[in-house]
Amino acid sequence: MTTLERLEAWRDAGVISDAQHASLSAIVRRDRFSLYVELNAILYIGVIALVTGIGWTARDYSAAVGDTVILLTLTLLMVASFGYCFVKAPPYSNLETESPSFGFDYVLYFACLVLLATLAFVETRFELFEGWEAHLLIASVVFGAAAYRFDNRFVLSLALSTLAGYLGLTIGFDTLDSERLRLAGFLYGAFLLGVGVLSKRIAVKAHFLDVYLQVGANALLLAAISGVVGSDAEWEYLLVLLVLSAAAIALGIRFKRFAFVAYGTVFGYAGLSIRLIDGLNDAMLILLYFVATASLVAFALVRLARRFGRDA
Amino acid sequence: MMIYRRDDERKIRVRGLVTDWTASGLLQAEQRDRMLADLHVDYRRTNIYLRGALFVFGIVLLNAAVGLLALMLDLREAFGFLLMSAAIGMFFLAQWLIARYRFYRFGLEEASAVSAIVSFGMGAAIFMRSGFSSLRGFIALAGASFIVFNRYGYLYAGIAAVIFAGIIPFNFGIFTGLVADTPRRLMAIVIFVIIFGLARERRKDHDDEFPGDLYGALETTAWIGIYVLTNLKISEWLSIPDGVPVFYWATYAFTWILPAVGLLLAVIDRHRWLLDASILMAIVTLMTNKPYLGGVQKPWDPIVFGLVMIAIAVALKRWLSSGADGSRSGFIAERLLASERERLAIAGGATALGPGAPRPHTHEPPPPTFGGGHSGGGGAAGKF
Repeated sequence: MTTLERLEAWRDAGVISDAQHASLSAIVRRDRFSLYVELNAILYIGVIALVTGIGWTARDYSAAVGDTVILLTLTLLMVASFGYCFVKAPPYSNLETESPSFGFDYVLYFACLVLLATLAFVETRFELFEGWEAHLLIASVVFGAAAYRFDNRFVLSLALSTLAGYLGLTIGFDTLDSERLRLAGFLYGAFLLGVGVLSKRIAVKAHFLDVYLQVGANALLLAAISGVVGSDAEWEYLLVLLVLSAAAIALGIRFKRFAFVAYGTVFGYAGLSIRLIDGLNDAMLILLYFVATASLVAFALVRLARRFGRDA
Repeated sequence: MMIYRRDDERKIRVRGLVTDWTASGLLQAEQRDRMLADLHVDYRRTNIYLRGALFVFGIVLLNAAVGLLALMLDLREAFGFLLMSAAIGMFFLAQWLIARYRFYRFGLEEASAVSAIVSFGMGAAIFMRSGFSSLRGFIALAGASFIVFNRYGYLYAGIAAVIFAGIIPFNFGIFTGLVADTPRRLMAIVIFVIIFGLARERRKDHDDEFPGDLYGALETTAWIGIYVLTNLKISEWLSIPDGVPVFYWATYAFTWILPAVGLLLAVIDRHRWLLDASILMAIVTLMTNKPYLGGVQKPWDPIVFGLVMIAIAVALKRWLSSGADGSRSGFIAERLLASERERLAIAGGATALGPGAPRPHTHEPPPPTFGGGHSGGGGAAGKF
């Protein structure tokens, strides 16, 4: 039975109206074919390329055309873009709001990237901030404010990654090679989780919660597992990792956010396995360990998956 | 023959559509509930995260078990044979899990089927004492992937089968010497063209209904394969071009022809996968045009490229919106379904890992041996 035949059957049975049947059939037959995602993707690529070119040109031609001209151009672009956003944006709301126009989100994204490029240019040429910390912190604060004002997940993600840059982090535990960076990772993750939960509690852009939870939880778990691999306190970090993993699993089950159950399981298992098989030289013992433990974890996951089913 | 009933597969897809239509405001919750009741299937499913975790642990478990068996039997010479035997066992294990527990995209049975593909490919490559053969390995991988696709309907296995089939000619020992790349590429392109034609035929048989949707994805994969092999500037990692002038300029022409033809076919058929792939190909063609012609990239090239992209998007949006009923031959610029917005939201969240994210900064001073480090925070374009 095809989808169109099902729709006809539902119409004949009175489940859907004639009008609904007509509009749904048009979608199924692709008589109405949306290019919404494609157009957005092309715009996004265009903005990224444009800012890349602006940055490259500013760097290569600063000596030829002068710092003032470049700075003026970057500032004009930034002011014009932010100005457009403030003029066109609807009044602020704590709830999720639709973009006022097709290109609005990308003008905002462009403005943010040009701000970053401008700050980087100022720092490179004039060393105004005497290091990169202030430059990245300023950018992340502005991006965060813009994300809330204009309700934009792209810009929120940019704010979070810029803040991570400020703290010396990257997404990947291989770079977390010092205690200080690990501490930064823990603070970063805890800060994001805190802000996310607070946003939800006070109902200010509560739909941002997922972004905060995803990035925050991964930052915490990555920081902990990096300590299990290459620190002087491997067992202590393992304990922290196991506590965090258990919390992720328990809270994930409680709130039915199963991504965190998966994170907790995989990170916890990986950290524990790294420590336990570290001293083993017998290949058969190592393989036995994996067969036994993977069976146990798989069994537990099957029980969980059977309990919560498809739509959980 | 696929293990799941065709009608069940279609029901599962329509369930997804009904949920999306409800989220898009096209159906009421009560209507959704009545429709979902008609779409009941007797399978055990789970959410994508637990499915992923089950897949990971299934892979660990099965591969460790095969390794353990090899150690216990001390099969050094016949390890390839053991792998191939294990592959057959894992293929039937997946079948048993589905038959016994009614698993559908549950992770464990997928781990078993995927492990079967990998083991079969590796086993064939090192089979008995005849030495390692990548040619044998890729033929086995392509064949095993296709069998798994055909039996269990896993799209990723089908896509893998297409890719492995296209890689086979790059492992032929007969093409050696100065001109080895051109015949390999031509042969691989012929394979992709054949797959494209066959998959297209199968898709048209079923239109967008299952299994037509799967064949549509395979058709697109083959089309992308043709383009990747044709565009010498993006596939040097696969095989170093041998510099045959006629071939070089022919491929240059085809880097323009393929996206255009793909777009045309996609628009005629309203084929989403092919449309998106062809748009991507067109963008890559624009990006590789200058290197193809031997030109030097200028700093303002990305500006021109970016402005062209923005102009195309804005012009297309306005053109579509200015048509009668906000559409042109049914193509519209507006969002129809909630899932489209969801896709963009996911992309928005993922930008934390993508372009625009500054490089990491380290507070720690660079070691003296580096001779002056590179202090991160590269800015928007990473150029500063």
